[in-house]
Amino acid sequence: MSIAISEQDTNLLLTTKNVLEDTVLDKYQLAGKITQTTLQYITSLINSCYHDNNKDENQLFSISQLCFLADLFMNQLLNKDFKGKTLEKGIAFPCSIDIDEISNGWSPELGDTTFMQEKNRDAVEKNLSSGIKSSLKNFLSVGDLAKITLGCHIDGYTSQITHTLCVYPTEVNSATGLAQASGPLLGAKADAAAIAHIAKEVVVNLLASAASPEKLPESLRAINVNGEAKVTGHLIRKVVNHLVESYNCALVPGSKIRRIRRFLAGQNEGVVAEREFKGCVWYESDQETAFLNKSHQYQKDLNSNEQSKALTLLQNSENTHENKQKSAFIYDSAIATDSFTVLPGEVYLVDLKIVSLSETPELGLISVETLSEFSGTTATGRNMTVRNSQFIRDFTQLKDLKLRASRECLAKMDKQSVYPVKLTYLSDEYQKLTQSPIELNLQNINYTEEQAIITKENLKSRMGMNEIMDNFLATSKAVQIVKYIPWELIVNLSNPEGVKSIDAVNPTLPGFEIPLPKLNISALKLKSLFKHADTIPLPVAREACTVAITDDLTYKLTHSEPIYLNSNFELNPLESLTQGVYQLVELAKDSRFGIKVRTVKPLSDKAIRSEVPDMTD
Amino acid sequence: MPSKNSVNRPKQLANNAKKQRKAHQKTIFRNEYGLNSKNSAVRGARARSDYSTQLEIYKNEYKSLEVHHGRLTNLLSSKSLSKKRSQKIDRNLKYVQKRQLLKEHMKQEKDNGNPNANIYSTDISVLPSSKVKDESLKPIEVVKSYINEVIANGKQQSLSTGFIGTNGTSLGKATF
Repeated sequence: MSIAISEQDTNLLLTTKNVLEDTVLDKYQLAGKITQTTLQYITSLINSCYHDNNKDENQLFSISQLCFLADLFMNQLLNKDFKGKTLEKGIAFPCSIDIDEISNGWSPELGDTTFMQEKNRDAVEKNLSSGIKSSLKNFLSVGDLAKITLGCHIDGYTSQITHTLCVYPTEVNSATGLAQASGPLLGAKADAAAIAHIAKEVVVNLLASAASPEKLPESLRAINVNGEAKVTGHLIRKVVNHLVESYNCALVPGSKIRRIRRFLAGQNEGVVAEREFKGCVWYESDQETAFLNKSHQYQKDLNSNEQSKALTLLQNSENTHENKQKSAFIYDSAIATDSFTVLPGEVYLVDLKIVSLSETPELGLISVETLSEFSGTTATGRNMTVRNSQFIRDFTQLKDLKLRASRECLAKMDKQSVYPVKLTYLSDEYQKLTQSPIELNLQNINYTEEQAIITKENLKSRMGMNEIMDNFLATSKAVQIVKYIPWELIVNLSNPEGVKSIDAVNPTLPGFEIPLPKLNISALKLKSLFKHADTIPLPVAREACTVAITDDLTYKLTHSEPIYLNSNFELNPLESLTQGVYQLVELAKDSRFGIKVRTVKPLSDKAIRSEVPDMTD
Repeated sequence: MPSKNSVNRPKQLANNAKKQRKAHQKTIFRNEYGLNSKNSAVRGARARSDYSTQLEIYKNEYKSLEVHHGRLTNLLSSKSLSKKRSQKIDRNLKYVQKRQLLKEHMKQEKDNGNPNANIYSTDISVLPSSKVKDESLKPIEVVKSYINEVIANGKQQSLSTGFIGTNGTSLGKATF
């Protein structure tokens, strides 16, 4: 459903307000600063309890507490008086801590753990994968790859960060007397985490070179049509695919590098179709195409003069995606294609989810499974029943609600923004807490009483939210895990009918509803395979950051340092693409003649403490 | 004039007269059109035995000819073919063709000196099957064949696409 908006307003919302002038850039930078400061805060929280051998289990912060504390900290920061930038601000992405194979959406409420443990009573412990085990326990364990996702917006200008952390076994450094990791992260998790970090940095440099495309290295230029010096979607995709393959890894469906605009930061993908979508997205269909390209017969058939009838039919069906955009009837700029050029004055989100393939026994497809909220659907005993915690208001829907609790909940929700909210944000006690001063001494953090009150208030909101969800006034963000499915299973799947349906529950970007278009396998059919014993959950590494490109300088709004790891793989220096990447990185280091990237720094301690932070530093 | 339902209306008389008038009109039309005539010289004449409106519609050859005010006119017709009828015609035509084949088949048999060959037989089951199997693959099957090829290749060689050099990759530092 689309809402009718006058052309003037559309221009104002989509164009005028998105011109990257100084005031807008300031807001983006502030959002970046706050996001980074919160990441620093939660990292130090995790280090202080999980990397400290002196703490026993009772002193650890649980995952739900960590999420709560990070959100609270971010809200307290946002509530400060930033001069002239106080229009509308808030959390854009509730803090979520996704462990191992969980790729997104794990941000439990304070009281949710008991509920979920009760719901998953029947799950067989030994069948559960590591991420699900830790998530159910609600505590991190050693070796866990924890992906922290955060984000905030200032007047709709959004910054997001996702950083992969690892829980290490620790030892005390004899020289400094401080705790440190006893060894680097190794194996499949290290491969994925390493390339996620490297790919993110390379893509940032690539995006930054859009301001001065003439500096693009020759070998990267050669990828473009006619060797043009510009940063296109094709170029970005080719570079990322090359990097990921060099580490024997694969991109998880849903990874993307996309332009963001005011209030349009990808928080509502699949629910709201954005006009003029610009960006590279990776879905199962890309893996299908890449897999087919490996076939010698396919290459031979493609190149032979006499094409088979079937191949012609196949190619015709391939073109439909492009045609969908061209068609006059359903002209839809919401469908993503790679034929775009990155231009200065745009803001991009780089969000890469990567899994290593070194533990997969055969060639397979990487896909994501949505964990269900209803028990009884997990008869395999290998999955868990979850409780979704992030809700997004769907403003196209109107309905008079029956319960008082629902009406109250909806009224509070409407006051929040178009970004996802957690039930905690709707609690009065929480709102009171956000006005209180920030507690910077981690030892003193103790919100036991407040947490109890919030948990109680959440119960009421939960009841209201149920009615809201039943009437489609809001949708919830799903918890998804990454799974590997052997191609053999997919090929042998009985699928006589072909595509007949799309999965309405799992939103994808428009145009990507059918995961395997050449094999004619729908999302629902693919879903049926997740139950099979041969599918394996894979630990995923995720890195995300926001980049604002201006004519003379590129601002990296959110930044994170890599974790301590050691991977066997490296880039092959003999390949021309690798050479191009090396040259690009060299250019980024050259402060005089290279690509200019400025990393936005987190807020200083002084700024965090003061009521009216001075932003001049 | 009394209405149709009034008590004193001479019903039988009027109804019969109407029916006869219609029948008479029809006879005139058929005669004029040559449908009752064996003389093929009559304009637009069609042999009565072959005539079937439904078959005409099926073949898309039907020309609507109606008697309008006692004259033959070429108007738009409201005559249509039901789905069931068209299926029946479909089937019948298939059998007609088969019987034709059977006739030729039996003739050939008889010429070859088969004493049991009956050229008037209608038992089409003796005909050899004429179904031609579609050998061409469907797009999905082609895709599957490509994928199977890659799977088979993958079983013979290493799956890894990664590059292992001398140094590997080390990132980050041990301190928190």
